[in-house]
Amino acid sequence: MKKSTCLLIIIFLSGLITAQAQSYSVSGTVVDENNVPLLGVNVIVKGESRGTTTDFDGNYIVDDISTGDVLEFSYLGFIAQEVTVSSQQTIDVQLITDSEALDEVVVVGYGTQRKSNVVGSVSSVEVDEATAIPTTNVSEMLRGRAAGVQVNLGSARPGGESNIVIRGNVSVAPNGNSPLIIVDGLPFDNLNDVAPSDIASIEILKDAASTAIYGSRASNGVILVTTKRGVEGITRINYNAYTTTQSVTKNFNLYDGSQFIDLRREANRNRFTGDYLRDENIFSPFELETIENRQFVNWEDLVLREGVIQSHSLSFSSGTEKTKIFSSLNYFTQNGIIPNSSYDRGTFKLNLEHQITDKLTFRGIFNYQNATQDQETGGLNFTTITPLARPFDENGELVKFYLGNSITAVNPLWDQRESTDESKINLTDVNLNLTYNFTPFLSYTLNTFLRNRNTNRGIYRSSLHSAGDEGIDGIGVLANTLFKQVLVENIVNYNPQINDDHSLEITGVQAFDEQENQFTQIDKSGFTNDALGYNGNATTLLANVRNVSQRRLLSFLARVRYSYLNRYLLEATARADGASVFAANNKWGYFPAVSFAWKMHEEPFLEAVESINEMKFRVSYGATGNQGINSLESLGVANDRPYVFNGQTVGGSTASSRLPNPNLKWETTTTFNAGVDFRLFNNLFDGTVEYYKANTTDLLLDRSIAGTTGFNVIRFNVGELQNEGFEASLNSNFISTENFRWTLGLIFSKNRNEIISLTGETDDNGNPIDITDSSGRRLSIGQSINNIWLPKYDGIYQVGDDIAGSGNPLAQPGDVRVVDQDGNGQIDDRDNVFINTDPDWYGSITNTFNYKNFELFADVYFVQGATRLNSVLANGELWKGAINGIRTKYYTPEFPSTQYPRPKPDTHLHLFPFAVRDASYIRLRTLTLGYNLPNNALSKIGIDKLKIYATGNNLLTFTDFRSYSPEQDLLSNGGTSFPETRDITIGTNITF
Amino acid sequence: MKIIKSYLLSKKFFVILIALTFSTSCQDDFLEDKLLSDTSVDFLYSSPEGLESAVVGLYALNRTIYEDLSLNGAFPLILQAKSDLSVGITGEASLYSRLLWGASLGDYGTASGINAYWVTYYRIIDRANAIIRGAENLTDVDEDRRNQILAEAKAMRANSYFILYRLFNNIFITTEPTTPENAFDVPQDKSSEEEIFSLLRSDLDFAIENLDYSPEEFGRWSQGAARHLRAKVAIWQEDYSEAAAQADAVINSGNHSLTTTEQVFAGDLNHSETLFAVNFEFQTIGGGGPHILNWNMVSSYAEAPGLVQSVENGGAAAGFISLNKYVIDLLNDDPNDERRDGTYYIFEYEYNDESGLPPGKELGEPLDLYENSETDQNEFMLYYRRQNPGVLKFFDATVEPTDRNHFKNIMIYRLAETYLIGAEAYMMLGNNSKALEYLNAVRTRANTDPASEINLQAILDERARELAFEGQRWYTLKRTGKLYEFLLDHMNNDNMNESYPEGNPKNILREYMENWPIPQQQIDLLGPNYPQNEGYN
Repeated sequence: MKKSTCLLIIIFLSGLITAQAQSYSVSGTVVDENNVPLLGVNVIVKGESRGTTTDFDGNYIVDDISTGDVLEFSYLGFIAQEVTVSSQQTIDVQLITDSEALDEVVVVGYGTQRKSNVVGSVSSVEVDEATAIPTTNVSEMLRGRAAGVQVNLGSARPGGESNIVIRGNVSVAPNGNSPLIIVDGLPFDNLNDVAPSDIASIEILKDAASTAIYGSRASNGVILVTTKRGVEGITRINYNAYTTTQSVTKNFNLYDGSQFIDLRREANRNRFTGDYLRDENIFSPFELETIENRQFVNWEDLVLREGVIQSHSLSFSSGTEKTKIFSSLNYFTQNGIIPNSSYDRGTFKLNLEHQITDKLTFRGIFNYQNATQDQETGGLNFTTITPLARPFDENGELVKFYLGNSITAVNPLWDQRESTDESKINLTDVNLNLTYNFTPFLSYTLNTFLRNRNTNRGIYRSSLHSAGDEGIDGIGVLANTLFKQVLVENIVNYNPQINDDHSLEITGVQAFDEQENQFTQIDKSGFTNDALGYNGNATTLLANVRNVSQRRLLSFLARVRYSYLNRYLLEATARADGASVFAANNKWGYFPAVSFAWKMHEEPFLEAVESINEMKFRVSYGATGNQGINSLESLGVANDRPYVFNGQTVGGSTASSRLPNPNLKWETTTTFNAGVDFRLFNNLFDGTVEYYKANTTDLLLDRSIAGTTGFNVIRFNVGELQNEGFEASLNSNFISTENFRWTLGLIFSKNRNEIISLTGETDDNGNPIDITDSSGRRLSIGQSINNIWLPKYDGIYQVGDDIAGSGNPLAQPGDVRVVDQDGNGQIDDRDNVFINTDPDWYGSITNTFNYKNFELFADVYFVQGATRLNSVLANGELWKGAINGIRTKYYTPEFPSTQYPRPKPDTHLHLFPFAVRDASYIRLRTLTLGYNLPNNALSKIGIDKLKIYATGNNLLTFTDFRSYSPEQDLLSNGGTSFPETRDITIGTNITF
Repeated sequence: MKIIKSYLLSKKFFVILIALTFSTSCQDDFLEDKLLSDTSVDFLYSSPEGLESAVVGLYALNRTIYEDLSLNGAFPLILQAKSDLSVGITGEASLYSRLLWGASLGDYGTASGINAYWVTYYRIIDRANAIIRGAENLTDVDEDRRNQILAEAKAMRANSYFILYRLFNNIFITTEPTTPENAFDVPQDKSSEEEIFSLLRSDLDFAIENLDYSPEEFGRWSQGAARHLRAKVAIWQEDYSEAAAQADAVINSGNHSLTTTEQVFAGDLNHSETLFAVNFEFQTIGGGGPHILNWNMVSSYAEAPGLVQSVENGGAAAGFISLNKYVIDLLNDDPNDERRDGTYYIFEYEYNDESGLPPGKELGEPLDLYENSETDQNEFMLYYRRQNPGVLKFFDATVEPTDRNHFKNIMIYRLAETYLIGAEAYMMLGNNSKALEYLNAVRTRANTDPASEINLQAILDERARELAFEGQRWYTLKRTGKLYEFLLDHMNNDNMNESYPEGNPKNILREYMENWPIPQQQIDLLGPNYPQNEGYN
């Protein structure tokens, strides 16, 4: 991939160095009405596919101009100008603001719209700001970029993913809170399949008015991504490259060797006499040896390395009146900070548009992606492994039994060396789209999409690995997932010209969508040798799994937009969806929405008011649905339960522990939204303020059922959940002078999640009962669905406390104290209280400073009032001195702590309540310094624009939550989480 | 508008309209949710083939507690940990023996391990109910085939209900399979003892009538196992003549006999003494496991100088709970007792590592560096961790001695217990000579001197020696009303009891603990007045 990228650059470069015809260059400066130079004005030679853009000082140079050529100057928000070249070599231009706008075109569901005409709640993301993060995780790029959009870090590993929640969790279903991702009009199952440098715009649809057109998948909002297209008259080659180094960032210390020894000694101290046990009792002979030699291990240092990212993007775009092309090649490679973790991805994209006849237009999109993800072996506990270990022998070779020969635990570094885990992903997308314009007002579009993703995962644990040794002779796992999606849409658009006062637009769509997953896994062992890894021959089949699932969706929808005098806008949509995952007689759902907007600034009485450039009020009301459940939940499914008789496998089955619900139907979210869009004081400020209330009914609730039934769980429709929130965003061009500009952006979001009703059943006292769902989450009326339900932490027992009269009469000074709510002298479920984990609010402040050719961008992200359980502090082994972890000033009889418990040889009670910690934070997420080389210097070497930049990500974080990141718990899946990193990037962006 | 009208009538528009309607006309089929790679429950419980595979599924479910490795494999050891024969040394299993776990509603051990028993055995019962209902409804099936399915399912159901009853006392029984329609008709009250025992009796009587003594496949319910269980049910109800009759039937069936002491727990347990076992197989689909029972119950001898893990010493071991002084003394009563010689139990770990050999010791000599001091914690902790006798009843001698993951079949019911049930039943019926005959059959097999007198203590002592750590002790003491007294006298060992950081568990022990607490999360899902066992609140 790397080679081919280089090759293409050379081809492109050689194409550029061609002989120039006899003619001259024209240069000049473009300024606005206040004589402030304009950056990025398109200067195009009319009729030819070439041109340039202005630099920071508003300067441009166009070569190869002959007299009579027409230069076209265009810039968003300004009225375009054409200048015919007579013979002058300098043409200075002043562009006049287009009052109509600053009125960008935004993408909405099944179409585009002028921003001023948008009736629903739609946020546009600043793509340049968003893509300043060196990752393939596009979700992370949206963090702090739009009001109401919350991003939760999923996995920080190379190729990892994050979860996006728009306006709070509206669903209790497992896959029920992911927004619908639409890329170029096509539903994507993964946002990260888009290469960041291909993105032209991102819009977030938040209220029912804008999302109802996506019906049953839209209750969590919709993210619309549009990739770059060719533009008529401009041919451009762009090359963007950066390299990033990553290092771990954290706010806690581990115990070093001698501190760890003290911890272990303290833990084993007799509680009554205060005597220490002899070391011989609490350390193994091997540990005693390491203590004597003072050979301690810092696992973090040993395991973690510096991560490196390299990214290259090369794109080509061109366009004529009839044909427009955009094509790109991207290559991204990352070696994570944990050895054996890496991600390599190459993508190719072709966006093609061709007008076949006056009436028939063809659009095609072709994406191809090839990626490899390598993962370290599971359970790499570098934060919790004991420092009393010896991973290397005298010769620096890895030792298998690193805790001495009597302990069978295997050196994690040894296991790393003896394992591979790689996933190879192949993705192919084909989108063919034909539009036939019957008249200028009536068109029909056929939109088809086919996606194939093949994921091949191979895991091998060699015959020396702890999972493959002891007579197993290597374990291999081969897993193959084939994901197939087919979409066909028939779209009719009718847009009659009635008269100047009325405008009407009608859209009708019929669509079907099918997604199929085929999963095959084979586990095998008994490899003749390790040489071929998982590709080798094995003698024993340990497991074979085959899973095929399918979901289908059939939809009909219509939308009517009407506007009167361009002041009063009305929009109505309706959609009917049938989904296969629901029960036989509940397949269909209906989702209507209406919205109204008043463009007050268009009223005659406001036309004279200069301080108000725009003032628009919007309200909307509508319903959307959720089908975020797995297939087969309405059907009775049996699980494979084979057994063995006389050493032979015998097939067995039993009904799965999920009881089917033959009446399962949609979850419906009804949203009210009201907002104001404004632009004030001669465009100095613009912003949006919004309020919403979304009520979800018929919750797809997974409910635990009595163990006496023999089942665990059933999903059924009951209850109501409410999300209510407030959002504000504000942009300002505070300072805008010739040499210096300062742009400020503020985003603020607040959401309150609350359960309104559940099953309606009551307990003995007539109070509504709580429901525990299958993930162990406790749902209770009046509480958020994101909560921790535990006793309330109440400090550490001190000498002299009334322990006998407390909730834990057996406690000793130094133990964790929790509140005995019912005062019965015992701590159990009935003493639990709810702790909301959702943030009170979150937001960001972005600043862009331009000084001459320099650009400084700083982005600060806030999360306030969030709560998270710290699973290292909650781990009883830590307080036993059995594992390492977050270092604390723990309680000792000599120095009684009021914050941290006393180490003890058994697991402390109530460590979980103790470990519930505030996870609020403030973080300098991005700091970028860029420099644009002046145009006059560049044009001589055939370069249009050249920018070099340096970016730091996660440079500063202020938080009390002790971890690698306040977004993540230290431990996950039995090992240390893949730490989030601090990144330093340098890069360049060249346009020819 | 004219333009539109003309287009409405135009051919092209018509074609589109047809396309639209065509793609929706078969929507019912199009939107059907299909089982593409799963078996449907309907098939499973409505055809002979399905039912037979569902019966196999019952055996697999019945294995789940043993192969559960959560909390270091503590779940299958809760009964052992709670008995009067064990000492909790360290680890999760020991928390149950120290009553920090599993003895109150609020503790984690109740919410996890105790709950696992409730859930697992009720699951087996529901699936057995579904099989029994399905088999009864089958038409056009060979009667023997139907009865075989019914007999195995009923034996499994009776076994599960009997376990639940003895553990939790306040249980609810039903023979109705759960459906989406009835799942929320939650039990409002416990079932009466009479209801419970009449179901146990009728299930087992059916099983006895229809099962063979030697099933085609080892590990399935046999007539011997069903009769053994029937005897246990009978003696629980103090129906001594029925218990004696069932014991006699098994003992005299000609299909079962006591093996030698070495053989009882050797190999795959497929021998004349085994009545019921749970099957495992290394690296085989359906082979389950592994289990780490042995690792929990053999001392961590390899931490001592001069010893490395070996098959002779009992393989990989951590020594979380093990034999306490009470049962060790019982086994030491007779110097010729073979059960200590690395057959049932291991009393001596031998030096086998020349490089670490302490001064004055020879290879092959028993480890004797530590002393079970009555007061010095420094001494007795090392003794318990490294030198205390261990249990070999679950030891898989075929895996590497460094591997704690074992795939040995697990003994559930065996003939030695049948003899001891017979002995107790005859004693209660006043037939002491027959009682002694049965008791001494077990004693002489272990190479101990025959007893000449019989009383309940003698039977309980012999049961302790013979059956310790097989999971029956706790039930036996509960049945005979001795649980509280024996635990107060013997639980753990006094030096350990005094050293636990939370204080002596004997101070926590209460008589009501003879019933396990019904986990609060289960009580919450039952009817509002469903009775918790007395004492837990």
